[in-house]
Amino acid sequence: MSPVLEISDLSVVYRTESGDVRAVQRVDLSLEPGEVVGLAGESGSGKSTLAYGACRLLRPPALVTSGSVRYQGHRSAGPVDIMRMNAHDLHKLRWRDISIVFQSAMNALNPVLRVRDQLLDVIHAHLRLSREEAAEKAATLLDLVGIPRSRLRSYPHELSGGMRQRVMIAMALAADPEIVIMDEPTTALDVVVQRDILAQIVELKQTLGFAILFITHDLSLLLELADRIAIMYAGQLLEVGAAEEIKREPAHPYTRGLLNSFPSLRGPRRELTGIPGSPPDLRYPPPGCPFVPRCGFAIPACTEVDMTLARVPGQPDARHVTACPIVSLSSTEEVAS
Amino acid sequence: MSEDLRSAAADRGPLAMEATGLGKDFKLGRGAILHAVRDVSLGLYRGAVVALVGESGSGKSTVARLLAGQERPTTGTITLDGTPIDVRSNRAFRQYKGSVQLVFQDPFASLNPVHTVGHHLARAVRLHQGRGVHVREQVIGLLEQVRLTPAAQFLPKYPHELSGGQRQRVSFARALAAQPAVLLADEPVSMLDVSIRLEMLNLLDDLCKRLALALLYITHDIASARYFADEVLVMYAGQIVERGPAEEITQQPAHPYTQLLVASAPDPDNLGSTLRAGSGAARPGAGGPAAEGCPFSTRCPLADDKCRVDNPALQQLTPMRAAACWRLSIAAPALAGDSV
Amino acid sequence: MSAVLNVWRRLPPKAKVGTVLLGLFVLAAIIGPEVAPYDPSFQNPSPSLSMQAPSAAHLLGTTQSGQDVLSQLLVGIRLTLELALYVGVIAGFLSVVVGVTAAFLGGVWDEFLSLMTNVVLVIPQLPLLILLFGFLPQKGQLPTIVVLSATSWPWGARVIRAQSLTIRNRDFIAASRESGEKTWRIIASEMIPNEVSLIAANFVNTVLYAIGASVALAFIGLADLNSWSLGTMLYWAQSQQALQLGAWWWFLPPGIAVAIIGTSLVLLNTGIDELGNPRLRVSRTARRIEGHRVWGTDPTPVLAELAATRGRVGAFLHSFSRNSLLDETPAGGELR
Repeated sequence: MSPVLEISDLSVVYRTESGDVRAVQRVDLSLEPGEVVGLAGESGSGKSTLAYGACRLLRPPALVTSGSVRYQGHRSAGPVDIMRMNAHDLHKLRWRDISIVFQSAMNALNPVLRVRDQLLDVIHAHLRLSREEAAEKAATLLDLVGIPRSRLRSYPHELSGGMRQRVMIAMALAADPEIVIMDEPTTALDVVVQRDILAQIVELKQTLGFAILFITHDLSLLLELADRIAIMYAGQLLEVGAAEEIKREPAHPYTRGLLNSFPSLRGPRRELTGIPGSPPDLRYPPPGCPFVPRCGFAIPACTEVDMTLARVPGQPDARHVTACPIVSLSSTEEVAS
Repeated sequence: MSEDLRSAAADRGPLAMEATGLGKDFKLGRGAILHAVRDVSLGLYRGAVVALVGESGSGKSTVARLLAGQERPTTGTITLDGTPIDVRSNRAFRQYKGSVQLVFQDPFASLNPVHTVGHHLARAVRLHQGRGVHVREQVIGLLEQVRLTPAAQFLPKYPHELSGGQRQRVSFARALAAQPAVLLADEPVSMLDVSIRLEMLNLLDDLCKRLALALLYITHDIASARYFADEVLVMYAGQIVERGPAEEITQQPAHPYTQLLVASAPDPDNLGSTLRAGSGAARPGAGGPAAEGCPFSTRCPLADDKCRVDNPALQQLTPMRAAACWRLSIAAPALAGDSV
Repeated sequence: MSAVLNVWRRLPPKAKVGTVLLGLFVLAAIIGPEVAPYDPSFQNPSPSLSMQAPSAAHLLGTTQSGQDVLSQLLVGIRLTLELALYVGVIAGFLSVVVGVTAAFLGGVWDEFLSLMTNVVLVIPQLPLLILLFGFLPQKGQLPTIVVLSATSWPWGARVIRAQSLTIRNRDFIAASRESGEKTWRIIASEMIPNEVSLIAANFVNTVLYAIGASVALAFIGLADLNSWSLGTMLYWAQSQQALQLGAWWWFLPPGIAVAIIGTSLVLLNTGIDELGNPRLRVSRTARRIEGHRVWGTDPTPVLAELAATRGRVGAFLHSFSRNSLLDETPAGGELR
């Protein structure tokens, strides 16, 4: 089965007065139909830039400097390259094929419009329905996400945080898309509400069959939710693999560091340290692996590696790849830092 | 607080602050009253971390504001080193600030964008340590305490030039300038990336032990509370529903709400357990807290008629644990059997 | 000094024009009266010198009573600008005090101050000014300044109050209190520095209003007619029928001066707006990327597509740009 979205060699820069900020560098990532791919990284790692850039939603001074993004939906005739599309076709692509659930619902929802009007707005922008059909569709969408129909008449500030996020999800599903990009949808929410929303998302995915690109800085969510996970740092992918594999046998030291950052509720109470230091300045990206200054295992070869993702040796799944040169050394060797 | 119930934090140091029977009501329009906080009692001990865990709307931030002196309680008392606090006048409030400091949640909003880091800290030092003190030295000392080094480089920086984690450290430093006895941290790491939360919590823990601070850690993440708190108090709809040592509460939660919180926390060791199997024990919060009886009765799978009519009080289970529930014999049979 | 240069560079072109123009007039105001060739009030009785068109002796001609128009203009600019400046400062100060206090104290104080603001705001200003002037014995500069200041502060007070309310609710103000700052210090040192661009814009607006109002008042005779301001020049020109007699050199210079000063203030204000709120700058204008104009609503440009549409001249020019050397991707470097 061919991937529904295939990002190849994508690079995005921000042209600022003080130079080009290389926000995304030569990223390859693909998404199969119905799959959940998680994109994990710290703030400033470029994960949002990657997702929005792939849809050409970034504003100036952003510029895509290389790469292609092939989209093949079951409704479209053949594959299309989003990077070569004109504005008209992009508009048709947006929401009907690819939609987005934005991060902060309170900022993304219009505070002076009722929920019903915002849903109708989305429906009319992308679908040809009569007034009655559109009204019924809006009500059905709320049913889909578990919000009582009476809330159609509410304003965003009258809803709780969890409900607002559900409205955002309902809006994203209005045109029955193939791919839903979720940009930190649960970050501002409590643990309990977060869990409900995630369960809802899983249920919807199973019913409607869309693929999800889930962006977050919270790797623990992805370990439970995603089929595959891509770890991003300083604009580059460091590791990609199935969620179970990443959890069991993380290949890249950064991934291992991230996994060690979560205080867990079960199991013994361990001493955790997190990852000291901070990401590099993206105007002057360092040569080789960007994680070197914070990596406890770096060797001189790390500054010369070309960052292509290579298969992790000794792993059954050929799709578990990483850019770290150290893993190609035998695992029994001690690496002096 | 019941005479027999001991706090898990009491072993760490002397009692710095105690709240007894705190209550706060807010008047909404048309005669309605919001009971934001109801009958909350807790003790903060030097060198110990007490965690207050609850979802948004549980009243935990209101408790923080009451303890910080920003609001006056409707009922109950707060004592600092044994004497009841007085924050009625502006001057009394400022003096109180020399002992009790509150750190805010949002690192992006709690620093003034037009002032440098050096200015923020210098003001704090001058306010609390008076004149005649070498301000620059003190400021550098504070920055080093929160591990923002090299300190001199950070002095001329503006908030927008710092990352979220760095800004939060500056906020901590500002609170420490007052050399307080009590530090109230209202969700100090919720708005930071998970990969740096641990560093910040380790820093808070270190400061707490080194400076013998009495730390109140308010959060909605019970896993982080387990990680570094001594005692955990779980709040729901303005009331404390369970309290006890952090390890015991999180490993063997007694109250159904605590059990929900523990079940909802992501569990990297048990992939997809709750998510894929369907939601956990309690129903999502479709109904708000109940107005009568136990507030959790609208969501509790064990609720019966008594729960809907009578609001249970905290019932002691072990010398250091208590929970407020009528159905403990079902929710936590092992503990309920030992109860007094 | 470098800070000033920095600010200069960031100003949009309109504001630069405005600043330069205003600067010229400020210069004229400072040195004008010293370099005026004649005493503006000196009336030359000789009829041959009355209502003379511009000549070598009188660069802007003479008035009906033989006074030199250029000298009057130079003195007039100073008087007008001085008056407007005083009004700007006094009314600006009142706006800030009332607006910030109302926002910060809230409650009864806010109600009271807002009521006062609204009452003064609603009173029609020009008729009030005419009325007040009718009653005042003196008609010199001072009454004008006082009356204009007293009637032009409410608008600014409202705007500043609104801005202060948003700032007051922000965490860093609460954090200041937590640090133990006193109220007046919070207002002066934490709130007001965040409103500087609003206060500056308000000041410029008030100055603009004061110029217009003072000229209008003088034109209808409600000013000290013995002093020379741009407004009184116009009064005398009008009362001596300069328009009918075709003596354009008498009324055009002061009129154009007022117009240019007003325009320069407006242009300057746009610069202050954009300096204070960088987000305005980005969203209002299209950005130039790779020689193409890209609006905020366009899809993210793709380098390969942009280069393809560049054309031969564009490609040639692009080859001189720094960016063409930095592009590593083949698509960007290829010239078609």
